Amino acid sequence: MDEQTLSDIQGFLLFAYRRLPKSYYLVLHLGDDPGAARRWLDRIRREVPGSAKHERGATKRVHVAFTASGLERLGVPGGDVAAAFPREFVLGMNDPDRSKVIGDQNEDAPDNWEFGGPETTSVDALLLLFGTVDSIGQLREAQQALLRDHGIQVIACHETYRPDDAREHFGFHDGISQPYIKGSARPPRSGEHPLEPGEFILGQMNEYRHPAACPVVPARHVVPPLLESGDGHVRLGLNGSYLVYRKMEQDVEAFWRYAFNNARLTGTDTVERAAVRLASGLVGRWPGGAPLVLSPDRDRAELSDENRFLYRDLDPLGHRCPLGAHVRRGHPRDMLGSSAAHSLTASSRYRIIRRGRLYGSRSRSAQRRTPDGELLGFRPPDGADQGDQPDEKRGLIFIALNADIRRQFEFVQQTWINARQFAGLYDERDALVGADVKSYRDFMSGQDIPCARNFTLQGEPIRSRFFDLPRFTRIRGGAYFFLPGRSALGYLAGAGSEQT
Amino acid sequence: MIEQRALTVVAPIREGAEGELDRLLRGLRLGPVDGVVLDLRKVKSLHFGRFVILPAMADRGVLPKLAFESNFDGSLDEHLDELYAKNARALDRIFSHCEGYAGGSGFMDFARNRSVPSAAYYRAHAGLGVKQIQSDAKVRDAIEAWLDGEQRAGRLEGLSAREIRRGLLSHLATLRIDGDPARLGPVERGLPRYPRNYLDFGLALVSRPLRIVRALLGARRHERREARDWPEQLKKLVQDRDPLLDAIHRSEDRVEQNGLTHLVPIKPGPYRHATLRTALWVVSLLARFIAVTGTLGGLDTIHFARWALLDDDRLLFFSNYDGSWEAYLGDFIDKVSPWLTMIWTSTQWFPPTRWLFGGGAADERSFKRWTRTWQLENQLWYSAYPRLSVGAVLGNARIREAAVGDLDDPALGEWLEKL
Repeated sequence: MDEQTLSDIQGFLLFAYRRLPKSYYLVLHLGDDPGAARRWLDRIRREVPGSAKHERGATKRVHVAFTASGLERLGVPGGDVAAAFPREFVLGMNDPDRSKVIGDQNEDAPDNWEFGGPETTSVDALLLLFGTVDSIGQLREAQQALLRDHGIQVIACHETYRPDDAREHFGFHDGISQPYIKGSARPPRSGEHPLEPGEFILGQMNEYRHPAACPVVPARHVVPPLLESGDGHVRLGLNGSYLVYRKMEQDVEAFWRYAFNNARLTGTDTVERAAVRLASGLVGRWPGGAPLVLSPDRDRAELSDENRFLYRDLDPLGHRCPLGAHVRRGHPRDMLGSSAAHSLTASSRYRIIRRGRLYGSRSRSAQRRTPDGELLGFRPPDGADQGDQPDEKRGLIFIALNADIRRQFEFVQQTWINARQFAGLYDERDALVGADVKSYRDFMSGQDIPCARNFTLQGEPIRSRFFDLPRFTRIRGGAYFFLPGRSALGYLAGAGSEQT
Repeated sequence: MIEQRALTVVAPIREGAEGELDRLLRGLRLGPVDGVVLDLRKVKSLHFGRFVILPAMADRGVLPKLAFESNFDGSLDEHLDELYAKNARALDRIFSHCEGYAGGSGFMDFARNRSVPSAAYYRAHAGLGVKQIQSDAKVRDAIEAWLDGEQRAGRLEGLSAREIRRGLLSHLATLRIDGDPARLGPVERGLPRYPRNYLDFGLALVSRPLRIVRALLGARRHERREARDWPEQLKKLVQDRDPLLDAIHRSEDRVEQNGLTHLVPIKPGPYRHATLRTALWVVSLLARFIAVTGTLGGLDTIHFARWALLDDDRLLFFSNYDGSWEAYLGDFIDKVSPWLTMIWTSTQWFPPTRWLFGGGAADERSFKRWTRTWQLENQLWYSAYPRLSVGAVLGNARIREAAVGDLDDPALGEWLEKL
């Protein structure tokens, strides 16, 4: 990608801002005055950085994204949005068909959400603020003042952070496997499979050797040169992306309680070790990040960021890393079907960039360590330690970036995470983030047939199974956003002119 | 040996009866209508079935039609007998909306006379009857349950694979499925044998060289001309947000299998008709000789699929597949796009193709839009085993096959691994 393209892409798409560990995500409702919303956008868009090299290194970052209703409230006619943007984006994450596809059922159903549900205030925009410990407070105050001044309502303010040890609340090193985008400014880490930019950036070439679908709408005012399509239309999607936003609450105590109560002692294992072993089996990596497939017996610090591994030759039967482990389901690499090549192709078609950050304080359950730093897990509630306060909420703000929500994020949810018969398994779902489906309605008999939340640990000479796992995570809200390119932000802000 | 067969009945609907038939079929999907019940589970020979209304083509004077699809075991006569014996009132009620249906003893003749042959028919688990598949699943469940129980009681600890198997087999010896002892061990499936099947495939192909030469010779000339029309045709493809698609989206993913119905007009002219027939013939040979063990070029999620040429110059496609539409189409594109392109390039508004195989279905977005454009919502769709993927059906069969007699150590380990 050339310098101009990189500079047009919001920096959040290509950078995780590891050096800016503090963040606020503000979920916004824009109100009924498109003029005010546009003035606000025009005010902040100049602060939104691109992805080119010279723009790196600041201590504050501001990014902004919009839902379909948000685009309308900025003055793009609803009909134009509906005609140009994909179905799932226009209908939104809370649409019943989307819930069916991504598995937001029962306690995860949008009706129960804190924000973004069918009955709650319409989510129009997302403001993402990143800073350091020193800069974040001021950044947030300044931005909130601007929101107030322009009559924009904050529906939810998610204070999030990236912990120094890069571990999520359960205690596991997270965010290791990321797709590497050809032509991005950051150099690839070893083992990263390079993907065409169009898998994540609209209008760019994708893995099918076609430009990723780029929404084009009739121009209402002066079009920035980069976005001109030559026939009175504006390439609104160019250099943008789709941002999947989900608030996922984690029940850390339940997770570790389950691991301790169900851990199976073998040989000289302590109960802590056995619990960590079982918990790591559900994840597919050790707490430190070492992949089970490379190190089935223990965590190894030197493998904490390791991403160069495949499954088929090393572990076809799941003896090292269970076939249903979260990392296998999320990114199956070469393990699916009868051919490694087919499987790798499929795996490269359905990648997402993950930008998860934590909210809520760290649980003590995931903090206990041996003197040499090895995670011990936690035995609640009658263990040696004090449990967490019951009303403390914590979890992950899951953010995924992709060019085609249906083909990428939704596919992974539906076809891998929630597939009962994934990779030869018979009746289970992802133990960490699988859907809350207790039964399904048999359409011919009308009977409800129970579905299991089981987990199989493959082994010699025979597998063992865990039954009716409790849910460790729960979806509390979410929305599908469009993360425009910077020129498109200018266009949406109505910069430069009135009607043409 | 059990042979799986395809039946496609296509019958014109009486004038003005389409709306009522549509309501009837949707009603029967959910339960009794005016006391009439359609219970396809009673039809023990039926794997997958569907009723779908094929729309009229006003400009060509084609009336709306009712299509019935069945994938069944055994002979057609026995299947029709069973269908009618178990669901006489419902079938009479449904087909009474069609022209020329007399009811009663006329059902069999009606179905036979209105049946359309499959131009190509794919089966993932040929030779496995419905009863076998359902029984295999029960055997699998029984094995898993026994293992779980023994493990819970701690009785498997320290046992070798051989000892576990011995215990399991003695348990299976007492197992009864629907009142009968469990049927274990291999069943005759009548699959073509490797490598003989490749030879037969090759011989069949070269037996009609002119067909292939003709299709290839004309290809570029037609493709260049058609490519010029493409920008206009692209505009005609259904928009993502078209309300017509709402019903289809709603009807999908109710269970983990889906039934795709697709009906597209064939491009006019003798070249396209001949080429389409040739392409379907090649694919039918592939399905018969090569793709016989559950995968079609790496695509391993289709239970049954068929193409049929209708006398109104449309190509009908039925598929019964696992998982989501998005996954299915993705598999199409990644794994078998040349074969599909070869067939569908001869139909209306298909994305531009090069030399019959190139382009076409490989153009992901256009191909998906094109597929949605011609997709129809099923009024009623049935699966005899909605919870079993192709992989699960075949995996269960392998477990049952090896659940008798002695196994050597590697085979034994492999067998236990499947559980």
